[in-house]
Amino acid sequence: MVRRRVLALVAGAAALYLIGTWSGDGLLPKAKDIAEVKLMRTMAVDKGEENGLLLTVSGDVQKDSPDSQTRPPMILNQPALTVFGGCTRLQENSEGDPEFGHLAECVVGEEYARRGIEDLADFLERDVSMRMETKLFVVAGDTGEAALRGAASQNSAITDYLTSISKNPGLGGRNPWPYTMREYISQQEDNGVALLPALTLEDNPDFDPSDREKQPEKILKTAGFALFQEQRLTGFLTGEESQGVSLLTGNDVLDAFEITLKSGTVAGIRLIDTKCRYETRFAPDGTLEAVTLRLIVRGDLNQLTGAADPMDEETLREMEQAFCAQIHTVSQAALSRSQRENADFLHLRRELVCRYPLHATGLTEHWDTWFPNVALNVTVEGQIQRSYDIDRPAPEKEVRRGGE
Amino acid sequence: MPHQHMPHHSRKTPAVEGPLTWESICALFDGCADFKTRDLTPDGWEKPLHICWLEGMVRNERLNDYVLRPLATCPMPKESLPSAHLLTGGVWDQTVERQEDLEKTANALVSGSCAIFLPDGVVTCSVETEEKRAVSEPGNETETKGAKDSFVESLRTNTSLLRRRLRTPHLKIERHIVGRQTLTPVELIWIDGIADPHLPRQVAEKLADIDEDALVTTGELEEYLTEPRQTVFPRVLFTERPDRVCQGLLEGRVALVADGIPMGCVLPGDVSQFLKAPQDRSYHWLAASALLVLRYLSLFVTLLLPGFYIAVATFHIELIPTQLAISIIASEQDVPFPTAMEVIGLLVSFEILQEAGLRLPKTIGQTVSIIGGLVVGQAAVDAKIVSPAVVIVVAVAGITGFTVPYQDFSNALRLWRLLLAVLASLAGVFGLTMGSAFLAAHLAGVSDFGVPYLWPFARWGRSELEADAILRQPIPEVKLRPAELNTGNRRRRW
Repeated sequence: MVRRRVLALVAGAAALYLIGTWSGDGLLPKAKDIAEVKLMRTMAVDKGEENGLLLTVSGDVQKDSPDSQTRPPMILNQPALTVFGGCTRLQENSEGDPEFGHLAECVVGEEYARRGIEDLADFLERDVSMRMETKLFVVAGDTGEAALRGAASQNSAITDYLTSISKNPGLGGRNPWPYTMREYISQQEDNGVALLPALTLEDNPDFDPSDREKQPEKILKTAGFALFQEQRLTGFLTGEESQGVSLLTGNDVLDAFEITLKSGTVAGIRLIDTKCRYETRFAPDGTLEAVTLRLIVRGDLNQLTGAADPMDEETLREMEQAFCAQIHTVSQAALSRSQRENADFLHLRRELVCRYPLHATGLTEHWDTWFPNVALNVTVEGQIQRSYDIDRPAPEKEVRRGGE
Repeated sequence: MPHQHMPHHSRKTPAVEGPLTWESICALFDGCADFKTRDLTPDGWEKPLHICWLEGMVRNERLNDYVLRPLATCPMPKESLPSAHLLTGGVWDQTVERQEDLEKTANALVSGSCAIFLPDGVVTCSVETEEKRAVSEPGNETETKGAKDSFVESLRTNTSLLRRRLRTPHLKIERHIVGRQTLTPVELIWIDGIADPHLPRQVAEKLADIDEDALVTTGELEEYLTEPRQTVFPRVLFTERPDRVCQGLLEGRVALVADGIPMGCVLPGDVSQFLKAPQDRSYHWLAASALLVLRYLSLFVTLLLPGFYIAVATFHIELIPTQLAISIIASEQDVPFPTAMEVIGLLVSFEILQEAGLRLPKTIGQTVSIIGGLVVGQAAVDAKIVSPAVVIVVAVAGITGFTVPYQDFSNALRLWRLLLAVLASLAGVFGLTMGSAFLAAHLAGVSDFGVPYLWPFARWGRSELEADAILRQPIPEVKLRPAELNTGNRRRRW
């Protein structure tokens, strides 16, 4: 019995040592009561003085008790040389006890992003309390701190807005979908190029300077994608380019299109399905000469404003052609930008390697030289399949081709 | 380790010494108000016979009609051996025995016999009273679809309840006397051919080792039968339902019934037994299995939830989903105590309330529960002494603990729940994990009569499934008895 107890004690001591609790500070892990902590939800990283950075963190709207009135979120900032140093000093110097384990979003300012965000990626990758699921955003033309402070009011924090667009990226029409740090690192590892959603700050028309806490001073809006090459911000994709990226990467199948027909009737069509097939042409020596993306799309007719009859064959044909043309435009815009920047953010190489394994070596080794010269084309085949009148279903028809 | 200052004690055998004479028996019971004597002179005798008994232990009608009346009215040989005459029909009693020593005679008297002192020896006649509580519905193990009878304080009634269900002649009942002062009859029961033949002998040896003044509670039996005694978990199943004892006997276990204890004891026990409710075999097997799974889930919740809450709220806040963390922080605002102290304090308060409710009469007990649980609880939350989240955690842990059907097992969980909460408050999930690992190792090391306490979980296989050990199987498919019981006849049916 004594031997068993000694063995149990030795095993317990070994376990304590192995898990690292047996440090100089004490045997047991350090407690931090939940009532004492301030949960930080969003972190902003901006360029600081010289090589330093400025770290800003924001919590949720504050509430002293479930029934009390809300207060604007706690916002703390700290200049530092590293994100880690900033976080540590914030914890040391703040009145509350900021807790970073629940950071859901990280916003980076444009200047800092242009300098490179590898140190931020490195920190989020290594830190035990941070999460790789932290969503990243870039503020175009401004700082992250401005975004955090601008969006803060008595009733809202930046977290509320970012959470909202993270949950419904496609339903907004042209919003970029959010990328987590895990996805960002994965993209960078794949081909050194990554996209992150971009935000812009605009003045809030409802802002009342006499009651600054009631409404946020700024409004955040989505602004396409920020393009990163080798961890540095190199530009933004907006408008058609942004929409093309969403469409070609299959992340935005619920996007809305508005089409004006010749008769003046306006159709609201929701894209509900996209399939992309790749056709290639290789030269006899194996060089990639052309890539054609054959898109097959389906849309739902959600609204028709005007005199046109949706059951009319000609109207349907016109709508489908216009729908395909729009999709062609946005897709071609994204492809062209990708080629122009020599940044394969659409992951064409990866797709082609999977589909043409015999050319995998050539595609992998020569992609950087082939890609700028490849002829990139898009063809779109589309169908609009839903009408208003269930008693008069749309006639059977062939899939229309258009927009080549 | 022997106690240094413990007075020496040796078991005195025989407990009563002296010659078996009328004078010595009178001296033995001198000062006992219930010791009654009667002198009776049979027809043609010169000297009277001496008869004695203990009032209250005998039934007067029996004594008068079966013993005194034939002695007084029937002729009795004077010269030849009168004791032999009594043994062969001189008295009209069922059980007549010749006694040879004082101790056995005294034991017979306290068991409800009368002793007749004859010139050639002593004869005892069993005229015990049958006054007892009527067989009634079980108070704590009610069942909607099952039998409504339960054990009573009378040993023979209890064995008859078993015998009526198990009419096989292979049902063996062996008598033992336990308690130096109480001389309590304890009967060991098993089914010959089904129970492991070594098991009754091992239990009998343990019973013989019991050296206690009295056997008046179940604990005196349980703590002598099982080792090590350091574990708080129950190892024998005490039940007031005869049908449950019968199920245990049919599985190959043995049972004990003791005079004065209205419960049957089934052993050896294992953890799965204590999570099965009496009604499980009355319900559809799927419903019963689902309830059983729910009970296992509740077991883990009641055991681990307070500790886990302390661990995540004090050491691992990042483990809590964000929205929940925000709610908890809001609820903890202005509460002056650390979370660990809140939870442990509330757990202790919960135990006090429970204990107070049990000790008081039922009607007042309910009032205490209502005042304690609702009024004081709500007031404590309003006064920000405890947070609503902690109240919910402790209440959920308490309520899930009530799903465990066996009270002793539930008590063990309550004790370990508190211990795990303390460990979690010291070292978070690490402390909780170490405590849980220690508990698992401790239980894995417990075995009684060769049956590991955790056997259905220690070896998960077809055998355990077939034996209905963990989940309830359709009864026709339960063809085997538990393998670990090493039964003489493993197969229940073809």
